[in-house]
Amino acid sequence: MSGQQKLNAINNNIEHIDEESLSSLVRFTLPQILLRQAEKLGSDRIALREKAYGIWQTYSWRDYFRYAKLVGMGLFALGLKRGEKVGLIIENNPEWLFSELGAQSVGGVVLPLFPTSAAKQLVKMLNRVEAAYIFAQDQKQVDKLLAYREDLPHTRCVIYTDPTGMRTYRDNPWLISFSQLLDLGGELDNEQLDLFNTALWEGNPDDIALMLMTSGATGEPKLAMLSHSNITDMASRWIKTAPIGIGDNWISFTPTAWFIDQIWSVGIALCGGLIGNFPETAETAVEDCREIGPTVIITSSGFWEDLASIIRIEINNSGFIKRRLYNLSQDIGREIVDLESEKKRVSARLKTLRWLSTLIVSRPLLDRIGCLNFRVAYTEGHPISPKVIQFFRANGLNPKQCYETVGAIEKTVGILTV
Amino acid sequence: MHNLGDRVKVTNNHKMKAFSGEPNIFTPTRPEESQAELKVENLTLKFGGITALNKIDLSAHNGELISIIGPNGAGKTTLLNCIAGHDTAREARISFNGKDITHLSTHHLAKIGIGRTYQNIELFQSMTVLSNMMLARHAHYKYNVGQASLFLKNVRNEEVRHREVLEELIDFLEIESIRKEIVGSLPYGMRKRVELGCALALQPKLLMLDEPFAGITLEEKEDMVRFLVELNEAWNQTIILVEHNLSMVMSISKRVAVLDFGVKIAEGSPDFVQNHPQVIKAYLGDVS
Repeated sequence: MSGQQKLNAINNNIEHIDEESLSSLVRFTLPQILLRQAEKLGSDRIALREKAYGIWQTYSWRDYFRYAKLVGMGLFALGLKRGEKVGLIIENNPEWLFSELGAQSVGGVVLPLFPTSAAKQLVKMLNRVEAAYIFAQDQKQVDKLLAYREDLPHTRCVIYTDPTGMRTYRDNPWLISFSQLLDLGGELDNEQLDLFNTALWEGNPDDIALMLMTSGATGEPKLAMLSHSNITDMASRWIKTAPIGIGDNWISFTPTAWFIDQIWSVGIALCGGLIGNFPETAETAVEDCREIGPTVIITSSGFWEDLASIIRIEINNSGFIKRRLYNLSQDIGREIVDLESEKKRVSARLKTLRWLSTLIVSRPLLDRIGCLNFRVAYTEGHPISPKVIQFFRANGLNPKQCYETVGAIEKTVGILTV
Repeated sequence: MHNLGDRVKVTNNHKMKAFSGEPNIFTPTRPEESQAELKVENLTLKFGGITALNKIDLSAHNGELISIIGPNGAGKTTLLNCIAGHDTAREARISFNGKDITHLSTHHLAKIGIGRTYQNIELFQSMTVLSNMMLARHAHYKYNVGQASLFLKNVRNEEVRHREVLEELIDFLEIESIRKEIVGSLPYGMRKRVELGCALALQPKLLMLDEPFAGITLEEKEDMVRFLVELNEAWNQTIILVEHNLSMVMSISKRVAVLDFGVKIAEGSPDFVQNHPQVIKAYLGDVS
């Protein structure tokens, strides 16, 4: 099968989003698109999946919209005004998307921050935008904020999503739990049925949806302002060019404050009808990735480097036969990769050996690490080591599909402001 | 033990923690189900000519975290062993919720809700964390060996239910990443945590911990303190703690009993015990 035939076969298996929907994306805000997807894909198609309590818990597109709506109404009930900023110090889980889309649906501007940041850095950023409300992941993040309570005069309320260990904080009027926020939203929604729709359709695609920290490579991080149409425009370009479609699996495990996860988990997954998958914990990400078998992945160079080293360690710890077969397969793969990079002809003998090694070693290995279903794999962050690229090429991951997206946010903002 | 990991279907029956407030496995539907009142009276235990424990009286009330401290060889673990049915005292009356348990065997004690951990970890080293925890829950199983060997539908359903409880426990103890690891391959601190998980898998009314802080790093100790405080304060778990680490004991206990050479020399609040002359003498020697 030729390269073009392969590409056609892949494209035929993809359930593409229709042209009309794709071209109309830029006319809507992100929460408006969520409503359209919820109406179109309903409760039969999965929108989000999270591994919790050892099981993949699912949310349909309708659930996704319902929770985002409850968060939006909850913030409305608390007193959020259009254009006010909402800080997010939250990890990769569905509550992140519910909070972000919910805040945006009633006109809030979201500022995602890194949960690993020191308290002072968080407070500095939150004060720069005068954040009115903050979503905090857990007790750890709440403690950081409580230590600087006096330095956050603009923040009216902090909403925590994980209630573990928060029992002793219940009397603090500055804090409410995510479940309380949903209840508040539900109550207000029952009282005023049209309020949400009015607020949602007041939104304009040119409104600011998101503020993202730049990498700060040349000094203090700046805040890049992205409108809804900035994100939807980028998303529609990705959907047009990358081999992705409705129901494809996206796995989210880079920090939520990074441009990549924002554009993919929020923008592309939402516009393109992808399923957003969230691993159980950072430590279980590789195992969870294997269970999901995502079709598309963008992750940091570090992830690929870690994965390569894990494979090498596991192979060294395996039995003689497995080790021997793996080493033979690696030798064949490397020889072919070298020939291909020098644009030399690959002999029929080598091709047969590669076919065999793919069958016996590479495919089971790629399946074991959750990379078998990849149609496209990207890497971001610092430049990846050529040895790691060669390693994956020798193991059958298509290297042509790895692109560098260093400084994506600066580039995007640069392109947008030109 | 059947590993259900791959058999459990994707489901959205679970309500997410964030949406439902808090996990509720430790909160029984009726408060009397977790009632734990332990009374030890006049406990004397002799090994040959040595009196390991001499006329010990001790009580643990519902929802209390009581610690037993004392120098090496004071008889702390022996006292725990007597309560847990490993050693049988010649003269004693031990009652739990008004029932005499002095001569009950360990598996009967597990059934009535007494769980414990050991000073030297007692886990199945070649089994996974999940299997160890599933096994620790055996007192709650209703199926018999025949049904289990055929893996009948009622067995499958029951195991799914038990697994759900364990998953909440795994979430509480933050051991998601090691649930399928072989226990023998884990670091010591994690094994201690797994052992606490096994004791909790029983959903005991009374939890007895034998030196849970021994041999683990400071960070692991802090985690362990967090779990114990959360268990005791949020879920009203009755705990008896045997420990050497005095700073940990004094910071989390409501009541402390001190043993020295098999005799209880003091009992009271942490402040009272810390300033008790006999306790100071037992730990530091006679300074006069």
